[in-house]
Amino acid sequence: MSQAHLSVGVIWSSVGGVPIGIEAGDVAVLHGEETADPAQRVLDVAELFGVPTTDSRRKLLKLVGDGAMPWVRVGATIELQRSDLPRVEPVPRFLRGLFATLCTQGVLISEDRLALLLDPRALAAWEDERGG
Amino acid sequence: MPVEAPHGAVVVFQAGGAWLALPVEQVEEVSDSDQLTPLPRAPAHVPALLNLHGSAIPLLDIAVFLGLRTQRGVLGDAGGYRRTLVVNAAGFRVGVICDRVGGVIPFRGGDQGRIQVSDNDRLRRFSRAELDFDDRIVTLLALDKLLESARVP
Repeated sequence: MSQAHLSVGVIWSSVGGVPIGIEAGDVAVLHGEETADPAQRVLDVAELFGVPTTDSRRKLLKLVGDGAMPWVRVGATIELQRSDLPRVEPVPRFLRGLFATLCTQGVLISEDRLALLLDPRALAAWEDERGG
Repeated sequence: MPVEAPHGAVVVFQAGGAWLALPVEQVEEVSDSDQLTPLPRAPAHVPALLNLHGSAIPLLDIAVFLGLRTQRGVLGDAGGYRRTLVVNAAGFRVGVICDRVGGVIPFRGGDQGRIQVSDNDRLRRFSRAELDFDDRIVTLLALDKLLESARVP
């Protein structure tokens, strides 16, 4: 799958009840769980967030970036939105430290949705630090 | 060092069983606490973000922060968060969770008492004064100091 295919838009998901999003341009490939290569590095957002989830149907996203970027396991459902895009708000200064811990770079927000916006570079760095 | 006497009007609200107050100038609006996004790995006093008219507002569970309640409310639960005071102070825009809003009450200098009624050390630490109204004692909060202490830097 080409990177250009996902270059515009946002991808919504939810992990352990926490809405998350990622800019489509940061994602090269979407996969279902069954197609994951067990040899690949996989970063589990549920583990990063410390939230419980037992859903075995969760999806994988391959991040775009320099070097060997990890796959990221998100929620069981993903939604690619390519029009009427939400706004990206920067990290609230009140919560700067928390957002760094969660590898998020802001929030995706529209009138009826609010999700934590994942930062692929921070995710890759977190994966590197834990020896993935 | 002289302390500036609070004066004017305050927004009175109840949280964790205590009556608290904020200067009306620091309160933007009262909102329902719906459209919440829970925050993983957050301290118990910062449980969620509120989508307020398309802006992301961190929620502050002031009862937990002040030690008036030990556990956070349950997001989306009928017995959980009900009302939010959207405040702006110290460069932060935050939603303060409360159980009940008592309204806007003007007060005179004579209403101001020394901080002595509360035996809660943490509440006293963030108090500017205790206001003696006819039917209740209300703690006027030092919001700038409180938000600086409550943030997750």
